[in-house]
Amino acid sequence: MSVVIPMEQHDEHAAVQALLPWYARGQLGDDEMADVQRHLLHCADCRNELAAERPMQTLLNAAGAAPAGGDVAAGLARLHARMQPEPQRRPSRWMPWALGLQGAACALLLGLWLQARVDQPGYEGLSAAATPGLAPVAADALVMFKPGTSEQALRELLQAQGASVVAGPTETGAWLLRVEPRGLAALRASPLVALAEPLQPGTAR
Amino acid sequence: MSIWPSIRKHREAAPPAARGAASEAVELALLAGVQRGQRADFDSLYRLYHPRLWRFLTHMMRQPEAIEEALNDTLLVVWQRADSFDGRSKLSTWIFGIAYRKGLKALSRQDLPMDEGEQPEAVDTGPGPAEQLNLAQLRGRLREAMAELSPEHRAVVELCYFHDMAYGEIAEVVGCPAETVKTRMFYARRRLRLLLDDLAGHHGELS
Repeated sequence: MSVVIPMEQHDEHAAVQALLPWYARGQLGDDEMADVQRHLLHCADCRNELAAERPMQTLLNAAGAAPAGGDVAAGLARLHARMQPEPQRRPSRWMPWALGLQGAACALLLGLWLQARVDQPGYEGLSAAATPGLAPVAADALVMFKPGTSEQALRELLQAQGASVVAGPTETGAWLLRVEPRGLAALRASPLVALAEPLQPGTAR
Repeated sequence: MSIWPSIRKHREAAPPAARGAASEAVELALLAGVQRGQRADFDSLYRLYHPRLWRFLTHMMRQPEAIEEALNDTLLVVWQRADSFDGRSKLSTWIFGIAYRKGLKALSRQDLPMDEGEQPEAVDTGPGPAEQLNLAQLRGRLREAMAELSPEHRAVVELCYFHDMAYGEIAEVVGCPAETVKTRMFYARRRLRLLLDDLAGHHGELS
């Protein structure tokens, strides 16, 4: 731990000499620059110190050169190894938002779709036709499958959980399903499913 | 205003590309890329800062085997926490500040003696007046003188004489009041002056 030794109080010479390296480089503010200049005008010792700045820099240049600048490429390669994998912060920052936006888009599409069904009562999809007496057919859940899920796997999963497709896929790749709560829970647990949310208040029918 | 403009011409350290407003703009553009996770921009920033940080850490730490690790620790923070640079200081101030802390941390891990404040009087261990002082000997003498300073004092010397930082900027880098920086400079400079006086008798070029 560094211990700072205060310069002798009111020692103008010490204060000026502490500033000389920056004075010589024109790096002081106007006030300090003027203070130092005023002092130098009447102080031969400090002028002598100022004159030592150049040889000081020469000495440091000549004798203080950094030994072997280090291997940049090798250093960078070693750092690359420590940078694996990509920082997690970036995906984690936008992913919830992206999923949220995607969900909101799905909900909007669902709203539009339900509205369209009210406007066009004559229309019934294949799945809806399988449940006569319920028009329009309301979906219980919105489900998104992970990218790359095959049609066969998707079909088998839905059949296993007693789910039927009400509509889909939407533009965002979401499916509207009729499914029992237990089936929905199972879908949510499936490794093939990215998102499975109930659309009805409370538990799904 | 530079009282002594010619002093800059005698420098051979810090690369000229690392100076000036234009280079600051380039560095900020690279940092923006790093904030977006662009590795190519990070690599460019790494290459830009490597020589400067290598030099700084070499003279501050004086532990050759620990320098690359401290340097990479520093730039790993830049990669991982680029978002935390708030633009209130220069980018170089922020990066050198990280390097300073990493350097001190590495030194403390090695349990090296740290600053005791009062610098000991110069001990003349150099060659006598009759001997010729060659460059290797000169380096040895400077090394001895610098070894008597603490890492904190060496950092102030290094940042002023080779990285063109005003004392306010150095205070930001090392995270202490400006008055402390001036005090450290006073003592470090006094030690170097003793060495200069000592050399003056047999190395005319320096005086």
